[in-house]
Amino acid sequence: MDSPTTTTQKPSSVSTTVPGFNHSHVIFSSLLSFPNSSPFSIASSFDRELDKALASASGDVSAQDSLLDRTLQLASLLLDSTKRCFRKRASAHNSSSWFLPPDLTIKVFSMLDTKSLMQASVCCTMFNKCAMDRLCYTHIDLTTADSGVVCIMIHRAGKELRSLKLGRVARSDGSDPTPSLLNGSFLSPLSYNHGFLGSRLRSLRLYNIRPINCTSFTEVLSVCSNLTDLRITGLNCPVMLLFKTLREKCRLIENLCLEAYQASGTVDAKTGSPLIEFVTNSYNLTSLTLISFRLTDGLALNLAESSSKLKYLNLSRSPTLNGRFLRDLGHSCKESSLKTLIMRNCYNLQEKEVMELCNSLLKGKFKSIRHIDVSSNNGLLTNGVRFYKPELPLKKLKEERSDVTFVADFPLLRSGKCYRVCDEGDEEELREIEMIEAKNDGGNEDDSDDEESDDDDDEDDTSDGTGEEDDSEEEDMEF
Amino acid sequence: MSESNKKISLISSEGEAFEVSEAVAREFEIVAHMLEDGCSGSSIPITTVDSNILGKVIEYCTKHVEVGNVEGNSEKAEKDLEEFDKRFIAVEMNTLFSLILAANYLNVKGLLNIGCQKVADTIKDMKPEEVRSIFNIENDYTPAEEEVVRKENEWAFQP
Repeated sequence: MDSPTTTTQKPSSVSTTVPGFNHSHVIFSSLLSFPNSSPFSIASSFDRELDKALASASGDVSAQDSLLDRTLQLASLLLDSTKRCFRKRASAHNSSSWFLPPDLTIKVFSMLDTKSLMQASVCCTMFNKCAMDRLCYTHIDLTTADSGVVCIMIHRAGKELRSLKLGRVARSDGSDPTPSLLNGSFLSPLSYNHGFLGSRLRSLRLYNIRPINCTSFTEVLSVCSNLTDLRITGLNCPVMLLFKTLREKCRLIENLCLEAYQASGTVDAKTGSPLIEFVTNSYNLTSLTLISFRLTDGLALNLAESSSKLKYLNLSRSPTLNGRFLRDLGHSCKESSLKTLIMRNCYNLQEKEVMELCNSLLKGKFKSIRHIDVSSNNGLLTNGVRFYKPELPLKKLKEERSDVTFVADFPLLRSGKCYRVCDEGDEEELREIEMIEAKNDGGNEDDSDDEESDDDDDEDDTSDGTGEEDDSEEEDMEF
Repeated sequence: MSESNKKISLISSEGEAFEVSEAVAREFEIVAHMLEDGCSGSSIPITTVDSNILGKVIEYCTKHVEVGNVEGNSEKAEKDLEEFDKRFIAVEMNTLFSLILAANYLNVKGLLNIGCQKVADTIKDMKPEEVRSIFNIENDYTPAEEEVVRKENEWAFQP
């Protein structure tokens, strides 16, 4: 049988080269130590040798053929080998200039948006390897690229998937959201395999993606049972259906932020019951943002009162709120747990209701509140007239309720200065959303604020006076 | 005396001793664990970190412990700390990498995070060629391989 020596020779594989190994070693090393001479002289001496070898096989065509084939092969092997060596050196160089180990490289990469990650992965093989790690896709952020690769990225993340951001945050002035490359089924991998991936998801943010197929979207949502953060802008779904799904399937929601693209029907106590039920039954909900919703004051009151956990409430750009609910909330014996209340750019907000709010604050109501913002590009309404310098007791507030930051900024539109919302961190995005609208308002605003007359039935919850608002809203939308 | 006044020596790879309060040393989770495991010696060798980097990490931890101890006016303090972090992390790449490695080894989570974030911010929105030149990285793909990778992620290279 095989002697031990033959088996030990096996690893060096091509056993036929072994006898000639010393020989070829000598040839190659002398080739490498070839004296530096001009490429021309090297080429011509090689030509000469080759000619000589061919001549010695003259008369035997097939021998000549095989000689040339062999030479070609040899030369290309040498070339390949040299290139390989070159790349190996480059790789070694890379791991000394980028000396973070793979796990830390992956940590860095996991902080990149997906487009930047893809670009980085082209730099070198080490980056590419790291960029394939599941952990790099834990937070998929495709907001910097409109692309249909969501499904691939979701699969790359696999069980590490935690958050997903898609679409464009910025909406070009008033125009339709950029038609997206995403089609209806872009989220469907989430529901495969009984929602294996969907249930991993903690945060889902969709910006101005349209059209969303509502039925399939609510189906997808219903497998995202661990979702704690949901943000959708440019929403044009039957929103109450969404609340119903959220209440039933996404019981862990902490932050909900929705921006309606086209203010849908009025949300009052009756039509808004799924919303109230959702808020009442979501025990983790601490932050609720409903931008551009046609809420009645009655519903807003209901909202603020129905959760004992709610810390942050943002009802900006509601065209219907007049602020009556603030008074009721102040009078209500139930102490609200709200810390932050934002009502920016609420078109029909009444000066006297804001005044009431200030008075309630001065009386020591709203114990937990720390931040209120009622700023607007449209000023505040008093008897149908817009006031840009309402006389609010801000100074007194500052003295007597130093625990509260009260922001009330009403820049005159004619001065060209638009009210800019200054916020930090996470709310930067919201600011962006509100800025888009602010630009629209500005461009659209002619003299309508003066014409704004008496059809405002002050404290009426049914919100007349929105007829006009309706028009301007629609103008905004159709740009 | 109270524990907070206890001093601990951290020894760098060059053998240089850095005397810090126990509170600061505990910011290094690896040291905190040692202390909890009853390793009560007052000098702890940090053999993989050199003096320059260890000094910086201590500076970072000292600042964070100081700010953590101040009560009230937390918003301003937080802003200050953010500013400090920003300045602290604005160093050249090699130092940044060394800081990340040290923070990882010593388990100083805050520093590890801002360090990695800084590197990520540097890479963000850069073309591969730009990333290569910033980090002194050479292309070690075969042309065929590079073609495949680029093709796979074609969408990322469109403006």
